[in-house]
Amino acid sequence: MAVFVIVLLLALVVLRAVNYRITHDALARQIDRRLASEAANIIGTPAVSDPAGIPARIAAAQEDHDTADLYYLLVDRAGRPIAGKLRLRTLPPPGYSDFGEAAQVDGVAHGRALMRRLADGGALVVVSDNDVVDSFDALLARVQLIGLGVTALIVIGGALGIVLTIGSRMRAMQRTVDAVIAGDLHSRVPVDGSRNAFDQQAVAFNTMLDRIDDLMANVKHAARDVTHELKSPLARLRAKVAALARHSADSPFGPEIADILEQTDQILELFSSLLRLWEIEGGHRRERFTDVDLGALAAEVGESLQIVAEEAGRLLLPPIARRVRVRGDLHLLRQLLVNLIENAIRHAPPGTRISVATEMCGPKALLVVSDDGPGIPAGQHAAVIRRFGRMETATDVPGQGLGLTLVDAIARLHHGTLALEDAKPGLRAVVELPLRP
Amino acid sequence: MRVLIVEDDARAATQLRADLAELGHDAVVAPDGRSALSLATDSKYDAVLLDIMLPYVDGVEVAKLLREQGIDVPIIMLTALGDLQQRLTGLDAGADDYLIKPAAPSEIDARLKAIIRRSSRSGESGVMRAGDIEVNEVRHRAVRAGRVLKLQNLEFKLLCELVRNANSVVTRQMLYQNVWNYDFEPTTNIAESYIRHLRQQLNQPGEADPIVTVRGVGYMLVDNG
Repeated sequence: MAVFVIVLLLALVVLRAVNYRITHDALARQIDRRLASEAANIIGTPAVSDPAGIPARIAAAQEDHDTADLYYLLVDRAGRPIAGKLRLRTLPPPGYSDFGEAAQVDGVAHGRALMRRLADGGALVVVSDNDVVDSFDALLARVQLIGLGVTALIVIGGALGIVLTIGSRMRAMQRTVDAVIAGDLHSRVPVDGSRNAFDQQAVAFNTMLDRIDDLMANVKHAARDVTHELKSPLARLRAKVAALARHSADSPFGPEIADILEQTDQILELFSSLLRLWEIEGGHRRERFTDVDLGALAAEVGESLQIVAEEAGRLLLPPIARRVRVRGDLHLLRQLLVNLIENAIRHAPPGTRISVATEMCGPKALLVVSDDGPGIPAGQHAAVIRRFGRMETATDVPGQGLGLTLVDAIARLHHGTLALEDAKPGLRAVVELPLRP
Repeated sequence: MRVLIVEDDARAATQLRADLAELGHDAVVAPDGRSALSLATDSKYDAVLLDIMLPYVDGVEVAKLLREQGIDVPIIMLTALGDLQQRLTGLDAGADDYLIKPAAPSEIDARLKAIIRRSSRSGESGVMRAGDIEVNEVRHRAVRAGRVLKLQNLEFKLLCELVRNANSVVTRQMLYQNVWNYDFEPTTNIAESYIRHLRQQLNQPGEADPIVTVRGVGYMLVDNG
């Protein structure tokens, strides 16, 4: 916008300058023509040449009111003045010429001169005072400057108005877009009912969001319905298999049935995780946020997972839990911590040391879970966070592939982020949350 | 046990009644909030399984109205996962526990038993006994056969939960909910590890192990006395 205004202003200046120049030149040409016609009148046409009558015609011209602003001088072959009131130190060159103070023309500061050689070797000089041209030039310049100023004010004011109007509309829309990106699909662009282009665009944008919201709801409902429809028979299946497993512990099919039970549990677990993910992404849990001390929570979760890590042959170091207060959902933050630590226990080999720390970093609360295991190649960090994403090589560990997805969703619900880093060696998961205001 | 099932989905209600019958419970179905209120006020039930989404009067309202009328029958709410708001307002309104649909029959059974035990045990001094095990929740002390047990905080809470529900199954879900405050199931066997540790503390050589593992469901503390 600023570039546009500058270009427009420059164009205006050029336009005004050209305008000024053309008018000025036209005036100068008119003066030249007047000098020429005056000189012709006095000298006479070659056909009716009358050198003897020249002084008389000069005197007459000097008396005439119409030509009172012109000065005349007639000199002989030796340059001596013969007639006319004009006095010159030096004779100007033949033809038109400008002169200033240096020319020492009596009574004229600067002006335009026309010198014509006469047939007898003498010369006639006609001079026009430039006062008229100068004052006209000054007037012209003033008109041009005022015109330029007024136009510039209108252009800048208009541009500013447009920028402010569009800017406020754009910001309103940006806020909505940000909210939608953050997961609030119900946010809408404010509409003022003026039915102008911006309002119509806002209405169209809102309609689009309504449509997306509808589609999302449909997809979610369909997915949820399918999950629920499947969950009931699965729950019954699991109950039956569990009963069967209880009674067949000693039968040759015992291990097989136990395996079926385990697989069924994995499916149910996956469904629970999915439903959980949808619940988190719905964003409604923000309404129940309370003050949570992340440090105390890390200490608590660390304590409860110590035994599990120990039994699995991993060393979970006591959390370095500094008091860090955030706004959040206690249950979800607990799950976030459990998932991160469990992830380290499940995916790193025995003997791995796992550490947990909470700290403040500027306006952010940091929660870091790191291990000194083999880590994950940097190129696959994004893949393991993605829904059902997993490492191509990780086929040995049964996992529902939603653990880190849930952590990421929980972090985003809290307006935070999850990042995976190379701990050199090992994997470091860093959750960044805004500190309690 | 006489159970009132309040569920507007006829298929789900029939299934639920069959499941409970299999477990030895006598269940009556109320298809909406109004009939649930009249049934619950007129007849005596041991527990109410209350669906949240109901026509006319919703589940939260039913729980509130029952409590206002002084009917303190144990109420377990049935909610879909994602209905957190309703789950919490339901608990505020006077429900005792919640289950996420669809719940396994064994889970419902365990919850029903636990909730009745809890309501019949309320108002005690915090001392609970099961066989030769005694726990004091107020003084944070656990004793087996006169021997004071050295238990960590979570191990103690776990033992309390088992003793409170002695002779009935405590599901893993219940343990995670009540001992660890998890409203989700972790992927590692936290409960299993803690039970193992608890057994080590609880059982001296020659003593019988009072904790029975119910495969795929949970654990039960058996009162041999």
